[in-house]
Amino acid sequence: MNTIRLKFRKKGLSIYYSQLDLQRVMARALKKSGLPVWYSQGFNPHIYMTFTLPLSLGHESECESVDFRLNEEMAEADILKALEGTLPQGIELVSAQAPDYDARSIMFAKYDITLYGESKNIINALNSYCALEQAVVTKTTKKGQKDINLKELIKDIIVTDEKENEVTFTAIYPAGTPLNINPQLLLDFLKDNYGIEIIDAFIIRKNLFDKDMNILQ
Amino acid sequence: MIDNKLKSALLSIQKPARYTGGEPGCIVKDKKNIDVRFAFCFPDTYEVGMSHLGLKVIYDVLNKQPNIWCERCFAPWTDMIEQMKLRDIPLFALESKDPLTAFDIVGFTLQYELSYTNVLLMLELAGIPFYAKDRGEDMPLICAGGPCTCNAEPMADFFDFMFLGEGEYHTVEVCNKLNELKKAGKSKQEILVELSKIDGIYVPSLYQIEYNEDNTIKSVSSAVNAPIPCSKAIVRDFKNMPFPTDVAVPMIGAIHDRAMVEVLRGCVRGCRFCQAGFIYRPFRERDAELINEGAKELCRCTGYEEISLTSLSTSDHPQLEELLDKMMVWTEKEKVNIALPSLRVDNFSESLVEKVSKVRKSGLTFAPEAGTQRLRDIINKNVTEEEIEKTCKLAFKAGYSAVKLYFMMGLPGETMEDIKGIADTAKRVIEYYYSMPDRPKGRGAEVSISVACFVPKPFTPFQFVAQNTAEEFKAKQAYLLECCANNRRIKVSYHDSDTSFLEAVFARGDRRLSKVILDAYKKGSIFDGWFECFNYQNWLDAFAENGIDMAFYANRQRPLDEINPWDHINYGVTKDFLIREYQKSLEAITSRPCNKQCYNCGANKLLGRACFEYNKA
Ligand code: SF4
Repeated sequence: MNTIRLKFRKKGLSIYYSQLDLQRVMARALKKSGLPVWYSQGFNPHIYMTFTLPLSLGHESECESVDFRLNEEMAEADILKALEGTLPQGIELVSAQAPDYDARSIMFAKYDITLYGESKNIINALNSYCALEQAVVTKTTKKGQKDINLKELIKDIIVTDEKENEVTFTAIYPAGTPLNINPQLLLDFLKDNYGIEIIDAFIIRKNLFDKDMNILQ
Repeated sequence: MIDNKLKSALLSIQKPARYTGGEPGCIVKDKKNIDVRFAFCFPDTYEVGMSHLGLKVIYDVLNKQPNIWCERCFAPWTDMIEQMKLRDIPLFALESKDPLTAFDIVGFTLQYELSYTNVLLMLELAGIPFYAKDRGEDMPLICAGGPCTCNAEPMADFFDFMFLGEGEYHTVEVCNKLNELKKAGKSKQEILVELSKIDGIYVPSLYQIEYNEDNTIKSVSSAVNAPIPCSKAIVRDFKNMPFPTDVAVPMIGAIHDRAMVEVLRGCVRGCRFCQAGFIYRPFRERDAELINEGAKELCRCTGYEEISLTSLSTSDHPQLEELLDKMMVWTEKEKVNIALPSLRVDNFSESLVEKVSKVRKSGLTFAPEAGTQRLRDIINKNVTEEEIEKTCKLAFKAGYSAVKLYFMMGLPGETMEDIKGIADTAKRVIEYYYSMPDRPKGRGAEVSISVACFVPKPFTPFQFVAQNTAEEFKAKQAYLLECCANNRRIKVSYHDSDTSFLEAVFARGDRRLSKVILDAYKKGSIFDGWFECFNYQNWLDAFAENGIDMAFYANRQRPLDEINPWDHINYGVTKDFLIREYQKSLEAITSRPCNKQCYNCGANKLLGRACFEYNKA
């Protein structure tokens, strides 16, 4: 049995699929591809799949992946070919190889965020955030609510593009099983504390990193 | 494409993928090569609409034509409606994201009366005037199809034309004709007169209705000689009719999220309450090999793991067991389940139970419809207590322990004795279970009974009868609960009588109701079929303000010689036949299934030959 990590981008129309939808998307695609995928055994067999790191609905991503198993050895090109046309618009396949890292080693994720609104105000808000000592927000988890200090977690914010009504900035957020920070938390903090009006916010996940900030994939 | 305006709207709502299209199987064409653009509109949510086989059939048929592009559009849910209004986004079709006004034809499917206000919602969101007479030459033609068009008179003022009957051929014909006439520079009025000459096309504005003082219809005429009666279209050679094998697969789930094949059309049974049983006549089955091959391809193209063999009565397919044998050769290997949604109690054989239970083990459902033999004879539901016993025992033996039974209340000739009969039937089913030494171990029997309020429908022998009033329904429901009290193995659920009443008004309504529907919509009524959206008071007010008595339509016994709003429409079955069947019901005389004996209902005329070869067997 071979574990295959299918890497893909989630863009365009596909960003509106939730994580749950994405599981269905992948299961259907694998089924449709005719690949010799491995089914979990038991009363109600289903295709075995694990997603490396869930992505929020509405976020784009350059670095998604899902693991599944094949009953036979297969060349990457053949796997990709079998999957052609099985996926909805917006999901772009990148590679299909043996997993190159353990999903548990993911510690950080980089996101680009483009905010639409008065640029001056947005830049001011970002600068104010950077000057803060503390930025406490409440994070809702499965276990309940807890207060966290964003400043300890999101340290550098780099503005990469500025237009009249549009600001793009990049930052690195804790990600993975121990602590996962959704960039939306930062946006909520900016909105609540600096009263900036964000007309729209488009979020892209760019890269994943391990604990030593090595890029994964 | 999705522009920033739409993107922001989508990021502000629940389940945005309802509005994005792009599923595998979704068809995008180059507008340059297209002569006719058709927007198939389903006036309910994406999840409901995508469960509907008819949509997939028409989508497939139209898109097979290189010069026609059919796209989909569904009713946006309330959160999206709000966003569209806020951001000034007109209602668009999923594939191109173009507004409905960019189309040549905007076609709504009318599956149930309670979706009527959603048609108005969708027109308004698209910026299309409600009334056909108010729409200029630049507007798309707005049309309707689906089972309700057998009497969609209450919606007559809103549509330019309606498709009667089966759409596989005439939707294409209409598109081609429209293309030809538009290129020839014809006006909308000229186009409509031409379209009315196509088989199965009904143009309501070409018919004038006159009323008597008592509000009944005096006469129906057509100044331009549109056909009276206007007949439905059918697919004569259904046996060899291919079906879609590569369909758009919803990725956010659907109500019925599985592959579907329609194995037969029409029904031989002639249950007198059942509109589908009459309006889809005559009975025609698809060839088993065609189904098998297509089903295999369908599962391959879609990746579905369940395939449903649908029809009004799948066990009436003469080659069903042969078909199942053929299918099981590949379904087991491909890990595909076969589902048989509409089995009949009376021809449920032992080997069939075995096959079904091999593919899927879940609850079994039966529809005795009425609780006593006398009432079942009146409604011509030819199911006997012995058959119920035999089938339940077969099912129990095969490992089932939960049975769901469907009944109706408010049937013509019904008494409280019949209501008690519903409870008695359920109790007997439980006794059958415990009488069996080889019943499934460790589980107790469970019987759920679901009781609907009977709605008299056009083109049935009961089109003449009065619906029960809300008070009558309530009394019967209370009595049924009393009869089932203290039996924890029986669960009872019943339908809301308010919605059934409204359904009854529209089912047999006339054109004067168009204004009422618009008024209710303006009061905020949308998604009336959704419990959480239904606002009965809006409707009561809209009817009262228009001075229209709902009981006139729903609770009145109609004289057999009265002109009904649908009498100028021909669905094959003649009024004479319906009267004959109605009169037999009054004496509780049953009729046999069509494949055993022909009662000359008239549907064979559509076929141009006899429906069955009786001397063959
Ligand atoms: S013509 Fe006869 S066999 Fe055909 S549908 Fe009517 S009653 Fe049945």
